[in-house]
Order: sequence, then C-alpha cells, then structure tokens
Amino acid sequence: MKTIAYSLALLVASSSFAAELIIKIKNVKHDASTIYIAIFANEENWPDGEPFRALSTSAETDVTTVSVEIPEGTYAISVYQDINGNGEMDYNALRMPKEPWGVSNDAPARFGPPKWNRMTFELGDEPFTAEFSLKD
Amino acid sequence: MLNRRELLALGSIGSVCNLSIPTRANMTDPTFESFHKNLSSRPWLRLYEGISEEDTGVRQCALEGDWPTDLVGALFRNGPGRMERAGRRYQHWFDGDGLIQKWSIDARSNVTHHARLVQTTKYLRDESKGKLSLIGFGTTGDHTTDITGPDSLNVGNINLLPREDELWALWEGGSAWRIEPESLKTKGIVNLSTESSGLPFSAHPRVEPNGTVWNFGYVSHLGALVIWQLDPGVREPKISIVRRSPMTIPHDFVVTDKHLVIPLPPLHYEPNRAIEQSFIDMHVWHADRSLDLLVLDKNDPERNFVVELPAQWLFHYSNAWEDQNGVIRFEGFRYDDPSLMTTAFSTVMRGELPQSVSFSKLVQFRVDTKKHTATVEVFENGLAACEFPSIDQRRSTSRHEWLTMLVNDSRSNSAIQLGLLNGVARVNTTTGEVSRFTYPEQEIPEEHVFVPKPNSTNETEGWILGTSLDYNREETHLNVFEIRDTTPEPIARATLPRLMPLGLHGQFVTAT
Repeated sequence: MKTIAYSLALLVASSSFAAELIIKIKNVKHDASTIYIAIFANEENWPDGEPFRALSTSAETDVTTVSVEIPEGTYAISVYQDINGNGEMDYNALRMPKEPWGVSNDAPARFGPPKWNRMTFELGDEPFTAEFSLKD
Repeated sequence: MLNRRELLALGSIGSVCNLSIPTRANMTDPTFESFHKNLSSRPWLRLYEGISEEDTGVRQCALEGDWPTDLVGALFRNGPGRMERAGRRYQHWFDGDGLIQKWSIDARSNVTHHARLVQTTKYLRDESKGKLSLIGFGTTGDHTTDITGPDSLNVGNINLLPREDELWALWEGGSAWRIEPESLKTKGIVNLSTESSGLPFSAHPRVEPNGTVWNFGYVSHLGALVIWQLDPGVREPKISIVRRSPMTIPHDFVVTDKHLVIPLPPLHYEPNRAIEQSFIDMHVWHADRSLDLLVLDKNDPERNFVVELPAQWLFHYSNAWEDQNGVIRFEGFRYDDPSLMTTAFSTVMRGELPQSVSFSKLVQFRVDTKKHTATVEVFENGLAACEFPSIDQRRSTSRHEWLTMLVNDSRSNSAIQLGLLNGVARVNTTTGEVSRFTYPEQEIPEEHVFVPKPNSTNETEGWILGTSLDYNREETHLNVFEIRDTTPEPIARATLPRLMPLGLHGQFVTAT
C-alpha cells in the first residue's frame, strides 16, 4: 500500500476532521503505467469540473491500493489507467474511453457518465475502503 | 494536480452502453419452453434451432451434377448459429452467436464443409459461466455488470469481409472480428487505431474495384453515424462523424464514385427508460414520417444533404452508380414496414407462426445530386418477395445491368407464410425482366452470390452459388447455377448430411 503525499496546508486545515480513505482498484491487468485518480466532493463538479482531489499512483497488477486523508464527507471517485503513458485518457472518435477506467461503487454507465448518486459514499471518522474495478 | 484535459478525460468516462436490467435468472425461460413445445409439430422450426457445438469439424460432401473445374475457392457464410444454452434461448433470430461456415471447392471439385462459432467476448463469457446471458439486439431479461460497451454484446453474426489474409466477421453495432480463414479460429477484435477503436463497423461494407473499403456504423444514443474509409495498403482508417438524430437502424448503404447514400427509414430510436426494453424495442416506426436518403460527399462526408421519400422499410440495396448528370441509381427491396424484423423474427424464436408477413418489392431509386430530389419506382414483376441482392462485384460503384436475388414467387406457399423465400432469380435492372429457378417445397434457399468465370469480363459470364436448407431431409446443399440465356440453370450440387441453421450473408473467395 502506498500513501500519497499531500500538502502541509491541507493537513493543517483539515486535521481535526480528517479520515483515511483507502482506494482499492481491482482488475488491474497491466503494470508499468500510471493510474490517475480524481476524488469529487460535490455533484456540480461531476463529471466536467475540478475534482476535490486529483492524484496518481503506479499501477500494480491485479489490485492497486492507495490511501489519502481527507475531511469527512460525501465523495465519488473516477480513475483511469494511462496504459500508453501519454498523460491523457485515450478515446475513440466518439469519446468512448479506450483505456481502462473505473468509478466508485462500480456505478453503471448507461448511455453516458455514471450517475452521481450511484457513485457516492460516506466517509466518516473511521477509515473507509472504496473498492471498485477497472473496466476495459 | 491533473491538467484540464486529464480532468475532462476522467469526467467523460461513460460514453458507453451499460444496461441495467433486473434479473430473472432462476425462472423458466418461456422462449425456450415455447420453442421446444412447438418443434416436433413444425419441422420448419429446425431452421431456427441452432447448433450446440463450437466446431463441427471438416466434412466431405456428396456431389451431384457437372461441377465446373474452374470454380475453385471457398464460399464463406455467416449467420446466427447458436441460439440456446442450458435451457435458455435468445428471443430474436438476430441474436444468435455468429457461425462461420466454409464450403471449400478444390481444383478436383472436392467439396468440404466446416463451421465454427465466432469466439466473441459474449460467447466466451457465456461459455465460462455455462449460461446464456439474455441480452442483445432483440433479447432482454438479464442484469449483468460485465457490459462495458457495444462489443460486450457483439455476436459477429451477419456478414464477412475478406481482408488481406483474414476474414472479418461483421455485426452491426460494434467492431469486426478477425477470423483465420483456414481454421475459422477467431483471432480477436479488429483494432486499427485508437481513433477507430470500438466504433461500430456495420455489416455491409462496400468495396471499390481499387480495393478501397467504405462503411458506416451508427451509435443510437449519441445520434452519431461513423463513416469509415479504408484505403488499400493503409492500416489506419479515415473516420468521419456525422450527427443525426433521431437515429434509426440503417442496415445497408451504397457508394458511387462521388457519393455515399445512407437510407434512413423512420424507425426512430426512442427508448423508454422506465421499462425493460431490448435494443429493437427502443425503436418506434413512424409511418407518417419520411425515408431520408442521406447523401454524403465521399471526399468530405460532413458535406451532405437529405432527400425525403415516403416512409418505407428496406434492409438491402444492390449497387449504386452515378451518371454524368449527377443522377444516382440503385435498387433496393422495399417493405411497407419493418415488422419482419421487429415482430416475425421474435415470433419464430418462440416456435410460433408469424401473424402477418410483409412482402418486399424490388424498387429502383434515382437521386439527383444537383437538384436534391429523389424518386423510387417499383419493378412490377409478379413476385411476392425479393431479398439478398448480389451483383458482379467488378461493377461495384459503376453501372451494373444484372442483379441476382432470392425471391418468393407466390403469396400463398408455405415458405412465405414463414417469412422465407423459395427461389433464385436474375433481374435485368434496365428492363425489369426476371428469370428464375424455384426450389422444391421445404427446401429453403439462403443468399446466393454471383461468381464471375475466370478471365471473363461480362457480368453474364459466371455462376450463381448458394446454399439451401432441406428441413425435412435434414440436409444442407451447396448449389451451382450456370447462367444460360439469362436464366439460372442448376448444374451441380454438394450435399452435407446435416441441416445447418438458417444464415444471413457471405462471400466467395476465389483460390489464388
């Protein structure tokens, strides 16, 4: 397990309400690449706005796990694996993702991005594990 | 921190098709029950029974007649092959797992038959679970989280495209599958570039004499038509996106030396998200709307226009050619409505008789690309139904005079009551004159293709090659016709002592 470094300022600002969020990404078929992770804190920003937190980690085959400390609250996560290392998610001409991707709760994407209320989870004062799979 | 592009990338996840449908996995499957209850009393249902093994192996066929020594090669055919698994059955004929059949004819006129199922993602998933997932074009009932896009449902069961040293097995809503022609083994999905990866490559591509392949695909929920151009010797295709809403189900199209024409019948994509629906059930037929002929500039498909004609349904078109005045001509098979697809092909999967059958007429379209007008004219030939066009492919995108097609010659015979055909015909597209051969009762022809004779240039010098299914004797035949005074005369046939499932389209590949 890796712990992602984050800013001292954020630590100070949120230390009294911080809780550990463990992000467990399953079905990782390729290593030697980066998984980009976006944590969203409000529906207005999903899917096109700024996430509450954006981070990245090296992919580990089968299961890749990272943890962060963030304030208690309601969150949703989306991730993609940058297989070809070009720093962006690859799409076909119709903006369908062509690299592995996943969202919290494995929320279904039916005719568009997954629905916010299918992706969200509550982070309380205890450590919480958000576990979901990459889809090809 | 991720940059803006990366954030957008994360946010755009989900332009995919993921169906969320309640499960009824533990209930008896009513389609399976109904079909098998009716099978013994309706022998024609064997056409839709399907096979259960993955690979039939290669079998020698018995020969009759006078086999032409210079007819050497293989007829490859595709169609829905596997219909059931462990007590569950697809609800629509078009949902059957793709079955590639290969009829090989060697230089000594030995004929062998081999058939193998396309190893699609869906097939392999069902195989590993030992269960048929009830989800597809006209089948619904299962919830599955394994669906990440159209290719999760892609059964590769409609047509084949010979492509360099492989065959592509074609579906309508997803990618092509790579097939090894010798063994019929599936080698994986066709992926030519990131831009084109996962885009639909539909089942009736058009090949120009210079080898350029044109095709289209449609993505209903995005209201998008994808235009493909595969130039000879170039791996990466040229892709154009044309927005079109509401989307319909365009099954075929035509190409001239300057234009593409995609007919869009008014079977509009109007899903009702409140109820469980199969893909076909998400469409509504609008008899009061128009058949839109979408005419696109080959060099720049975004330059296009629409010409409206009265509502009518068509699956297939012959071949288009454009004269010096910019008038495009092509033939098609016109139905009053799409009920053959929307109703009859579900009814037969339950083992029931279609309530009514739509009859098809041979029609000729004329599209004036300068005036932006169009007409459609019916060839009155006394036939009850026509389907499955084939031309001399050397005339592709230029003027053809002759058309080979399947027909039904009567509105009262047993085949047509089942939505089936009973003969093969040659049509002169200038005069409308038809000459035909009618198969015996209970022998159902499948698509027949024109094969030019070696070293000939005339589109009347060739054979017609096609299969037929005798559901009483439980035999499948490969039939060869010679064109004599424009009339197709049977000269030889090979018999496989087994009834294969009713299929769709194929291609003859001449031995080199």
